[in-house]
Amino acid sequence: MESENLKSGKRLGIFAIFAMIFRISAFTLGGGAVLIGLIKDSVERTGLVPEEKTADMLALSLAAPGAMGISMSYQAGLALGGPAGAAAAVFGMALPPFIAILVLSSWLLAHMGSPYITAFFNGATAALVIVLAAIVWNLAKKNALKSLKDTALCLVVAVAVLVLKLSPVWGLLGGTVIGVIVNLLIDNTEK
Amino acid sequence: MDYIILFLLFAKVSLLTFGGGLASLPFLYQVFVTDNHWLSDAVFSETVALAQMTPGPIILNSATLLGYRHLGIAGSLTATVAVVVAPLLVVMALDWIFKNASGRARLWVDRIRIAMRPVVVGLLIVALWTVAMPVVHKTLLWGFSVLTAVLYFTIPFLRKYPQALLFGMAIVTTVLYAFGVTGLGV
Repeated sequence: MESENLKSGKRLGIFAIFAMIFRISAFTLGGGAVLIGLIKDSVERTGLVPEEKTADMLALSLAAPGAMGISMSYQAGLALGGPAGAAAAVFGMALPPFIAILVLSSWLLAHMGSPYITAFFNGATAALVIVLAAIVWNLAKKNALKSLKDTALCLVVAVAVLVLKLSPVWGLLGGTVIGVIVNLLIDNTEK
Repeated sequence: MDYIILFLLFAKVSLLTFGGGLASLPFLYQVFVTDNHWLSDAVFSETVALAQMTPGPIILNSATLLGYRHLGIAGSLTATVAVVVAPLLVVMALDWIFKNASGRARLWVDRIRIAMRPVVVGLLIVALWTVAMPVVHKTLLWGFSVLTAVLYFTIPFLRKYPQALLFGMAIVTTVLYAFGVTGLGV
């Protein structure tokens, strides 16, 4: 069942999967959206999973409750190495924050109000904007900018959540329902 | 018993959290501070601020730290496992449906998959906006964003490992601050 995900039927070793996700989890400052974008890129770079599938993984990670990074790691691991790969990937995602927190927390707590720490995170955020923008732009090119109706739907959802303060999960559900209906209407008028 | 309660609590929180861990914090505050007095207001605030600074998903970090503050290392493990496992069951179910639907159900799953794609981009634009807002009013930080963009698009290595850029810029701003440069939003 899992092997249908793979173009060539090849799989990645469990340790390679663990290392890939561990590295991303350990060194990515900035939260869920960047994490899932970078995992998507890494999975595509292996050449083992078609882009169609990674786009689905991303959608499912946003649709499922809980940490997006965990959901994305599970699916990436499953696609690259079956159930054992999924376990390795989830472990790789969950381990670094766990270690970092236990090791760093007392030090960080002692320096909490320090302007140096603020300067550090502000610098990271300035870079994060660009890294995340590149991820969003690549996705938009393939999934939102190819047709006018998709572009409109994408913008409507973004505005509804940002300006009208709609909760993201309702944005996802509502947007998907609208998308399905619009697509059905267009199909019918074409026939 | 304490561990079971902690496990169920974090399983519930993670199942109720959609689209970013920050949304779970008010609920955790209610449970940890208001209802049960497990932690003081000050300790709670300090802990969640820390959860936002350390790498990894906020909800996972909050679980690790709050579990630790409440019941030590075993509490930390309990909360972490709960946060990881509970939503995974949902992902597994959705993933299974995506892959195994057939006939008419397959048709609808495909319609939903296709309709979801532009919506996902819309939500990521929201995430980008949220990240960009704190930078917007700090002119010098904009400079670093522009510098990052130039480096990102000219050096293939940095496109492969953008983490190097995140840490690089963080270190540069810290050093500049140490030399007395102002306008870094500090």
